[in-house]
Amino acid sequence: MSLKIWLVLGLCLFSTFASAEEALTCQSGLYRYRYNGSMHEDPSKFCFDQARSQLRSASCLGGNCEALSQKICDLAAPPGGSQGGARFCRALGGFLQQGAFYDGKAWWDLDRCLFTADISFVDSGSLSARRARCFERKAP
Amino acid sequence: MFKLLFFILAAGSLPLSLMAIEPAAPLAVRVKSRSPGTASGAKISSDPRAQKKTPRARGPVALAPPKLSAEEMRINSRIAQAFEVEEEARFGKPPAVKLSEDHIPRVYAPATGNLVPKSKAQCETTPDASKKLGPVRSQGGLGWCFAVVAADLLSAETGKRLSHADLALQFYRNVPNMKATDRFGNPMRPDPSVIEFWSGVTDQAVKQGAERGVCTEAEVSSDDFMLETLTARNLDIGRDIVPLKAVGANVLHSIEESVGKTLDQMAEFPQETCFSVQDAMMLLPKLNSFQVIAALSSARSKEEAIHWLFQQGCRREPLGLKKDWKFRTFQSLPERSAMPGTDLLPKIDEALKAGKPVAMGFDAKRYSAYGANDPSVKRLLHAAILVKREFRAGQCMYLVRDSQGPGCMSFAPPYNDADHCERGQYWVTEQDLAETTLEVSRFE
Repeated sequence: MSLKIWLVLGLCLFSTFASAEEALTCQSGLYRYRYNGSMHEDPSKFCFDQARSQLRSASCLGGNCEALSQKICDLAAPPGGSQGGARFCRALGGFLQQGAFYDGKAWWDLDRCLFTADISFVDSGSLSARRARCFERKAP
Repeated sequence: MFKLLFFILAAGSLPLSLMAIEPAAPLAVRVKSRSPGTASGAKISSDPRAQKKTPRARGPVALAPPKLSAEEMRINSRIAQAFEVEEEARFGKPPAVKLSEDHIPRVYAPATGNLVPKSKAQCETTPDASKKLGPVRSQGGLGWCFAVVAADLLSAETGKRLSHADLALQFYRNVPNMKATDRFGNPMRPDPSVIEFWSGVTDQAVKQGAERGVCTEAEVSSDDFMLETLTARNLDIGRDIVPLKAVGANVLHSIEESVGKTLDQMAEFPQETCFSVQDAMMLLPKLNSFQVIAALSSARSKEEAIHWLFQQGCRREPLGLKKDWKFRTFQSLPERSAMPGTDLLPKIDEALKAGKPVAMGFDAKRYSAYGANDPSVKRLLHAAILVKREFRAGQCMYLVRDSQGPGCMSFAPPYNDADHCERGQYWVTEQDLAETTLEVSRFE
């Protein structure tokens, strides 16, 4: 009986991870940003969602990267209506770049928070969303 | 000579190298923390005296002028004069036109709290005003949403993509007494040594832009990566006050260090000079390294160098607004109702029907990914733009153009899902607007 429960739980967990992974498409591409009045393009492998509103380096797909291993739950919320993700990025030691990624067909504007330790990155909005989950877990 | 050539080349080719360079010493001191202002500069007061002063009119009434003591007025006047001098030293010219407050009138809306949801017939689709505004902007970690909104609305009026960084800098230079009164006219102590890069007033920013002109984004970049990083040197998470002139101070300090050095001297300290050149170039992208080096090496004073750099980098042409332009703000009284924005909805609808974007000052807590579930966040005062109305999913909804970039993950569920969010803009219900909107502003 208990084995069946564990099996069902295991399947549920697996499908959750699977659906999260499915939502992202990973490929090699370019990330461009302006610096010093000129454009720079970094080739990298990254993953994005269908709406192109999430971006992360491929190394972050399993969560084992510098960008996603930081303790974001300990950070205080910034006051006022600033872009929280940008401030979280800096507080975690990342560098915010406002640029665009190329998915093979078009350029999509989206910032990224870059961590130089392993050159991993994630868009700043995803940092805000990640911090929001800290409070979901605490909710009864 | 080889050294000189080296640092000129280095000026444009080492994007990541600057990350390791220690920041220049901040020019200013940090002030004691106080509660953040609203996105529009207004403050919500729980002071009973403030509520007594609140006009009890049934319809819109004119906002009473702030009541300042003679001493406060004298201080404000002195600050204003000092900033005027600084502005002229920097840019070499006074405002192109002097405008009165008549151009940016404010009136109270009564805040009855009586929301009657619109039927499908009453909620016809309005034109998409975002098409006049270009790509969604990103305010980064700075509290300059008001300047983003003002720049967007001025861009819609003028057809140029104007720089919100330039507008914010002008605002902080030229509206020194922005914190002198709260929204009810109660005096707050002005601090002559401080400019906070944290909140502001949308209509005053519009007035500054109309008076002095605004650089375009091509001239003064608002979202250059290193501009963000420079600003970040003064930003720590949890601080609610950003030390002075956050964008400009480090750049100007760095330029000051290099002014008057000969080319030979510059060549002796390539890294230091390179840093200054890069600072100037990222603030004024149209300048090349040779122009910047020429200004730094030939100027006799910091003011002269900065004057020259800005004159070359951005000429701030007049915006060409109509002579009788008005930017009207309707302000609600949140103490009177749980739905302070109810009586602002008709003002929003009027503008959207005419295809005009509407500035909105509001409590963004429920829409924010980082604020919605965080019990420590009581209220997130913010500014954004309403760009469209449409009947969707059985109710009248409005499209909010935020300044969090084109992604959707900065918003809380359900505003971040595919049904609600479109590249940095999200749909809210009229109930949402009624409950969260504190003021709206629009060009008439």
